[in-house]
Amino acid sequence: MRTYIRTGTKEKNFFQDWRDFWTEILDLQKYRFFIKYRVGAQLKVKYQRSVLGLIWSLLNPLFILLIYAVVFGYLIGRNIPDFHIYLFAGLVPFTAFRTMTISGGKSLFNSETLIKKSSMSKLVYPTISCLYAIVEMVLTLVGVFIILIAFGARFSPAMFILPVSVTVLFIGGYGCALIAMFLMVWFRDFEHFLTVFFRGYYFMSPVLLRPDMLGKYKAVMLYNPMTYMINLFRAPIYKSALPALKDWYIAGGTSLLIFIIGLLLYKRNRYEYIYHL
Amino acid sequence: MNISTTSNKRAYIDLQNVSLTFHKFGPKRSFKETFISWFSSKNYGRANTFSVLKNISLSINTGEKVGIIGKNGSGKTTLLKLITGIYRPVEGRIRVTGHIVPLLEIATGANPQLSGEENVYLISAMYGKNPYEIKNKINDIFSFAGLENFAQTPVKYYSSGMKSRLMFSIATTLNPEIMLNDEVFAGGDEEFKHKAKKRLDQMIDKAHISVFVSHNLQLLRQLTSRLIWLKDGKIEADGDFKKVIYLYHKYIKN
Repeated sequence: MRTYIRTGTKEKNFFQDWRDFWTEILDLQKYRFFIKYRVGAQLKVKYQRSVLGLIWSLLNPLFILLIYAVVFGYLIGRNIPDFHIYLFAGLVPFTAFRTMTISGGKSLFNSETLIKKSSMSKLVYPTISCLYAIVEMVLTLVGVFIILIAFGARFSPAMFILPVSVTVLFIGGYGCALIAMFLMVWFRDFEHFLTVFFRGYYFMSPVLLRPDMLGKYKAVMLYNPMTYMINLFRAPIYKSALPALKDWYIAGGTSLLIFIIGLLLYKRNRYEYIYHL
Repeated sequence: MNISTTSNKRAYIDLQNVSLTFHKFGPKRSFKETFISWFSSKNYGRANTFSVLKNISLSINTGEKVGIIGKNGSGKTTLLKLITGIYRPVEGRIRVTGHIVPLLEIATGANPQLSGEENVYLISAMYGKNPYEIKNKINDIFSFAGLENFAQTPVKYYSSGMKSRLMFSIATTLNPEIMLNDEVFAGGDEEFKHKAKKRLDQMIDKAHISVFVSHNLQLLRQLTSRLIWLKDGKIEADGDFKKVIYLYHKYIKN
C-alpha cells in the first residue's frame, strides 16, 4: 500500500516540489494501459463506420500529395527531380509536427470532464495526443512509401535510421505541445493564432521549396530548426543517404531544449491548469 | 505527493487543517484582456478567489463507513476530489494510504463511442489496472450490473441508470482500498440498490474505507455508521450517525 502526502501549495518547498514532480513522472507508467487504450480507441473511432476504414489514413495524405505534386510539381518541381518524393519526405513530418502541437495543446480542453474527475497526471493527455499523431505518421510514412515505390521511390538501407528521426520529432513535438497547452489554457485565442502561424511556418520550412530557391531570403530557412528536422527524414527517403551530422545537432538540440522548456513550464503551472479550464 | 511504503498495511485518510481556495475566472481570457490588465489598475479579467473548504481536519481509519451530508455547495464533492488528489490543497496537509477509486458522478472517463466491454478496459486502465487482469472478471462485471446483453453495445446507447450500474460494478471489482462515492445510487433502481448494499457490506469486511456523499439520508443510515456534516466548507459536526443526524435535523427545523 502506498502513501500519498499532499502539502498545501502555499507552503512552497523547492526540494519537495521537485520530488513531487519526479514521482508524477514515474507514476506515468502506471497509466500506460490507459494511454495505449486511448490511442487505440482514437484510431478505431476515427474511421468507425467508414467504408474504407483505416485505409483513409493512407488515402488522405495520398490525395493531398497528388494534388500538391501536380500543382506545385508543374510550377516549381521542374527544378527538383522526383518532386513527389521530395514533397512526401517533407510533408509527412511537418504535418505530424503541426498535429502534435495543435492537438496536444488542445488536449486539456478535450478531456476537461475527465480532468475534473480523475487524479491522473495532466501529462497523460498531451501524451495521448502526441502518441496518436506519431502513430498515424508512421502508418502514413510506411503505407504511402510502399505505394510510391510504384512511382519511382527506392528503398535504401539508410532508412533504418528513420526510427531515430521519428524519436527526435516526437521529443520536439511533445515539447511544443506542452508549451502550446500552457498558452492555450491561459489565452483561449492562442489556438487561432497557432493555426495561422503554421500556415506561414509551412512556407518558412522547406516542405515545398529548397532553401536556395528563396534567393536572398534563404536565411529564413537556414535559421529554422524545422529545416534540419525535415532533413532527418528527407535524407534517407529522398537522397538514400544518412542525415548530416549538422542536422542531428541542430534538430536534436532544439528538440531537447524545447522539451525541457515545455516540462519546466508544466511543472511550474501543473496545479493551476484545473482552475483555468 | 511524497510516497513511502509503510509497514502499516492499513488504509488511512488523514487531513490536517486543510483549506482550499478556488480562483474564479471571468469569461474566457484572451490576449486583449491580458494586455489591458497590464496597464489597468483595475483587476481586469483577473480571478476573484473564494474559499471552498476552510480548515478541515479529519481522519478516517480502516473499516470505517463514512457519510458526508450538507447543503448543495457546502463542499462535499470538493472534499472527495481533494482526497482523490484532483485538487491540491492551498494550506494544510493530506495523507492518504491505499489505492483510491473515486466514483464521482456517472460514467467518468467512459468513451461513448466504444462498447461497454471496451469501456471496462478503458476505465480500469484509468485506475492503473492492467487490462489483462480484468479480462477474466469481465463476465462478473456485466452480470453484476445486469447488463450481460449490452456488453457489445456502445455506451452512448446506455441509459443513465445502466451507466451508473456499470461504473459501480467496475469500481467494486477493482477492489479498491478506498472507495469514494458521490451520489452513485441516484440512477439505480431498488433491486440494484439492494444488490449494491450487499456487495458493499462484503467489501467492508475486507477492511476498506468507503465514503459516501448523498442527500439520501435513508440510504446513508443503512450504509454508514459515521457521519460528517459540512456547512459552508467547514465541519459542523463529525461523529456517530445518530448524534450528527439529530443535530442536522434540529438545524433544518429551525
